[in-house]
Amino acid sequence: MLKDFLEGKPLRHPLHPFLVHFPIGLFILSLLLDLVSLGFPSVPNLVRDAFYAMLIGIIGALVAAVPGFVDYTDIRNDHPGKRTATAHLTLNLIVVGLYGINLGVRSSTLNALRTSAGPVILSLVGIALLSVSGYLGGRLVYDEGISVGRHKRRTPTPENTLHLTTGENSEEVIAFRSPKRRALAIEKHCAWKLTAR
Amino acid sequence: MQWLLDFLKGKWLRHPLHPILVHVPMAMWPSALIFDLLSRWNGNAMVRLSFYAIIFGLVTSLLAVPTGVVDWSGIKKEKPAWKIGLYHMILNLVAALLFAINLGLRVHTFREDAFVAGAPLVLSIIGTALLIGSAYLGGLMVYDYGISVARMSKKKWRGIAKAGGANLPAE
Repeated sequence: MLKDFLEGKPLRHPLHPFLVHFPIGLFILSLLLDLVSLGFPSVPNLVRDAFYAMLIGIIGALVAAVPGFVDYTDIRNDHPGKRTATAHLTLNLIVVGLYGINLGVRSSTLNALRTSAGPVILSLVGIALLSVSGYLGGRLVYDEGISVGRHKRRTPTPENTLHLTTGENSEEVIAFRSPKRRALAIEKHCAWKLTAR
Repeated sequence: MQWLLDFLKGKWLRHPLHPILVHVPMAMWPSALIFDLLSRWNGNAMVRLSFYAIIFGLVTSLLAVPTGVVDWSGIKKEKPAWKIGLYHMILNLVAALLFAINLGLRVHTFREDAFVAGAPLVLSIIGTALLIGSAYLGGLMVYDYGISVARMSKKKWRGIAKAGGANLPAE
């Protein structure tokens, strides 16, 4: 029930791709305000505003992480998009960590006229990694079809494909998708070797 | 001309461009509403932040228009997604217009105002509501109707289906 909600099934639209707009947009805004503060230090509150944009972006990122993780666990392990999804997840964790540090570093200098070099560099790195990660997330949808039409699916997540062979280093006999216990029964009965790839 | 269409469709990136570009206005305008509400506590810094967010959103939304129109023109008129796309476009135009008016109302006062109230706040609320409705329709086009999904990877998926012995329709 909660899983269905986090996957956006009642809405017919996944929640994660909706929520991620906020961290992506706000982190870019924050960097822009940093850069403007370097060029026009006489404009008041730019450093403070970059901080606020980042703070709300981080809150958005943490909220988006919850349905994102649920979406991730819904991809079967042998799906061609799983590795992309793992890279997307890892990069996002790094980005949020970097922005956490970034926020901490700048929190003591909110009245400064220019954002100092350290936080600006952290933001640049953060945006670079986030762009890659966002691109991977988009590839998951537009290339691998992850969460496309998922709300129409009545059955649970498909099982991994299991591969049966006649023994060590032998030809594959059969590859199929079924509950693991059924495959184990076949393995026992036929003395075949079961390898889940 | 074809190169321009391919560029706007994001073929060079192997990812549609419109959903990338819309992240900015989609984040900026609802955030502007949040900043408006926070301005009660944080004062002029938030008023300014909201102003910057609206500008950044407007500029980027202009960039997103041609990519969206090209994506929409690729949908067959008899498909249900065509009509959704039309509503999506109209709602976006109205939301962008409301935020442009909103910006105009703030442009002379955002430097001094201590908080956002009255017409600009109301416009932020209405604009955000329309934008979220519109974004939902855009999301439905992708996640319910599959618009621009597998547009660049058709060959790959046909190959996989063929290897699996699927009876594929002619291209």
